[in-house]
Amino acid sequence: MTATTETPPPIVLEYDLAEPPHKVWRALTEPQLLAAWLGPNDIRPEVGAQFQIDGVRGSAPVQCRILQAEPHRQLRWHQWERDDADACGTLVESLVSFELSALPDGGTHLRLVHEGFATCPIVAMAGVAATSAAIAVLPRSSRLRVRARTTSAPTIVYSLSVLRRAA
Amino acid sequence: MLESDVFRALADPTRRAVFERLSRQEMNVSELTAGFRVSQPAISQHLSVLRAAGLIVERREGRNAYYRSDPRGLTALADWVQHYRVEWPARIANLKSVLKDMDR
Repeated sequence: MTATTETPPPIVLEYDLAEPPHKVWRALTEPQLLAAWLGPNDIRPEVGAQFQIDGVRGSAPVQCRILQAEPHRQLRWHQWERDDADACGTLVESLVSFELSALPDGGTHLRLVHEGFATCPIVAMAGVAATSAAIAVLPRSSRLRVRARTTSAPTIVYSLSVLRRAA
Repeated sequence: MLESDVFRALADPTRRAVFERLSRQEMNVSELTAGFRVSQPAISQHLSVLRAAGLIVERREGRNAYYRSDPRGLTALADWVQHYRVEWPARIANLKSVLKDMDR
């Protein structure tokens, strides 16, 4: 099984924005506003909610699941995506979080952290009681088949480790 | 490559085991057959399904054919991180203009 043992360092970006946290929060969590800067989506800022974002990378939508949604303060999601160019169908998962804090001038300090990049070979996915977020990446017909055929499941080591870190 | 083909190819437990063995090392059909309780023609059939799904590649050497998993997945992760390193600042620039245009 292809495995990457070293996790790449996180991407951390910090910005001071002129608008207040409640406004930034809306731009992160209202589908139409999020679409205007990130991509068409069906986000619902509730813990456990699953949604997808189109056009972030390649043609396959990114599948996401909300891990934390604290209005005006923190939004964190777990995301899965497929590599179009990779015939092996490698899935890449990662964690994205936006932390907002109020600035004295009424603006917002935004800290964006994108971390926990890991590959999850599709071979692991196919035989597994995978996480619901992972299952969501599969077309519906395969989901049923995968569930029906699964008896003893190999573990998705990478995805589970990320979920544990996220918990 | 359709996702459904990939999943169909891997839905069979024997085929999945074949794919996993080939991700560890390159093998020919008889080496592969030795590890399974199925006939060589059956293994060959599994190999052709895996090839059709783009999961493995074949290398010919004289009369022998060797198979292995497509290794491109290994480099994917670094590319991915690099993509986002470039992409996020551009997206945040878009976010800034969205914020400016938002209703008050």
